[in-house]
Formats: sequence, structure tokens, C-alpha cells
Amino acid sequence: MNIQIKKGVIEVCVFAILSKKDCYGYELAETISSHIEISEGTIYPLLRRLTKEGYFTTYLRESSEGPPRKYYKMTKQGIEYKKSLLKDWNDLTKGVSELIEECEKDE
Amino acid sequence: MNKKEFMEKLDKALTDISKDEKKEAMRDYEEHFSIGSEKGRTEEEIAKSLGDPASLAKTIEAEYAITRAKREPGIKNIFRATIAVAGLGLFNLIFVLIPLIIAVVLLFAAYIVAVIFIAMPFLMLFYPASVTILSGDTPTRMVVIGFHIIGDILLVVLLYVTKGFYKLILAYLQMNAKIIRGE
Repeated sequence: MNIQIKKGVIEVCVFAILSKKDCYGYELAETISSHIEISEGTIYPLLRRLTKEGYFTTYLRESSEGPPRKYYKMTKQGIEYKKSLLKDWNDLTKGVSELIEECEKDE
Repeated sequence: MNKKEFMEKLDKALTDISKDEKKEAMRDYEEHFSIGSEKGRTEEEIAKSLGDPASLAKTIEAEYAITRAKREPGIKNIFRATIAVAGLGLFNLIFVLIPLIIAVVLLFAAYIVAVIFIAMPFLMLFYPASVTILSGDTPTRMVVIGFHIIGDILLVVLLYVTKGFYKLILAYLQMNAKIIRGE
């Protein structure tokens, strides 16, 4: 898939997942790649940028096994952004699906 | 590729970010490996699903450069971000720059031709010898006026072409700037 499209899609997925619950990076990568094919490593730079932009905060939590995990939590600003992002996404996919449908009808 | 190899490759490829940023980035992948191992995956499997460390390093550096250019705007940081983004293969400076230079040179040459054509009648007035060679059987005056008219038309066409060309470049730069700003 086109790298730019994919980058945008991963961002939408991250916002959708984090609006439900706080997650650590591995969890996010696992959830997303169970639905779409991504190279999981790209999620970390994305998370770092969105954190710096104020959409998420991070905290460390000990796990029963292994080292502490870095959790990502959505901020108020993140919640606001998620609303507009998901609306944009739904409008976009709806529009594109309609367009494809129309074009296929014409054939 | 096992964890050690992955981390070493990443470490080598991450050259253009601060020490703290690098430490933080490496830590994330360490964590990823250790959670993956807990879940029973092999290091090779985890490394494969993470992706190529060299291209990951490019992504990390590009994201870092973009954030920095946003927070501390300035020509230097914009330039850095541009280079980092170019490294991602989103657009390529060389493929843009060379055609751009060629186009500018061609435009410039066409302008010179137009100006010479337009100047022909005046050249004839002051240096009659310079144009007599061209005329052959037709009267020199006719030939020279013909050239002058062609030059006028050429100049008008060139002005339009230049305007369009300028708009094109500007649109392209703005598009890239948008990508860099992550819009």
C-alpha cells in the first residue's frame, strides 16, 4: 500500500484504539496488524510525534513479567482531535465507496 | 535477524537525532522485543514484523525533524526536515532540481532569442552590415521586420509560459511543505 496512505490510516487506528483504553506500544501494534498489514516498528515514531504534539501522555507501569511498559493515554486535546479525525475518515471512506460504486455501475 | 542484530543496525542508522531521542527510540524497541518474547514469539519473528531497521531509522529521523521544524521554525530546521523527508522517498530533490534547472536555462535562452529578434531593425539601422547576410533575394527591410514580429510574438508567449511555470513550482513547493508539516 502507498506509504502516505498507510501512515494516515495507522494514525486513525491509533486514535480509535486509545479512545477506548490506555495501551502500550506492543498492544497497539498487535491490534492494528491483526487487521491491516503494517511494519510494526513505524508505530513508535508516530506515537512519539503525537505525544509531542500534545495528543497523548505517557506513563510507565510495572508488568508482572519483564520491564515496565510505556502506556499511552489520550489527552483532552487528543479526544477533540480524534472526533474530527474519525469524522474526516468516515466522510472520506463513504465518499470514495460511493464514487467507486457509481463508476462500476456505469460500466 | 535476531534482537541484537536489529538493535545494532538501528543504532548505526540513527545518526541525525539527539542522544536523548535516540535512547528513547531504542528503549521502545527493547520493550517491544521483551513483550514479544513473553508472548512466546522468537526474536526473528519480532524483528521481521517490526520492519527493516534502516528504513525505520529514516522514519524516526523524519518525524524528529518535522517536530523540530514545527517547534522551532527556521530555515535551517525546514531544510533539515526537507532533507529528512526526501530520504523517505516522498519526493526527490534531484528529480525535481535537475528538470527545474534545465527549464530555467531553456526559458532564459528563449528570452535572449526573442530580444535579438526584436532588436533586429535597430541593429540594421546602426550596423547595416550585421543583417545583410541573412536577406538573400528578399529586401533586407522585409526580412528584418519579419524577425521583429516573430520576436514580439515569442516574447508574449514566453511571458505566459513563465507565469504558468512559476505557478507550477510554487504549487509543488507548497504541496511538499504541507507534507512536511504533516497536514
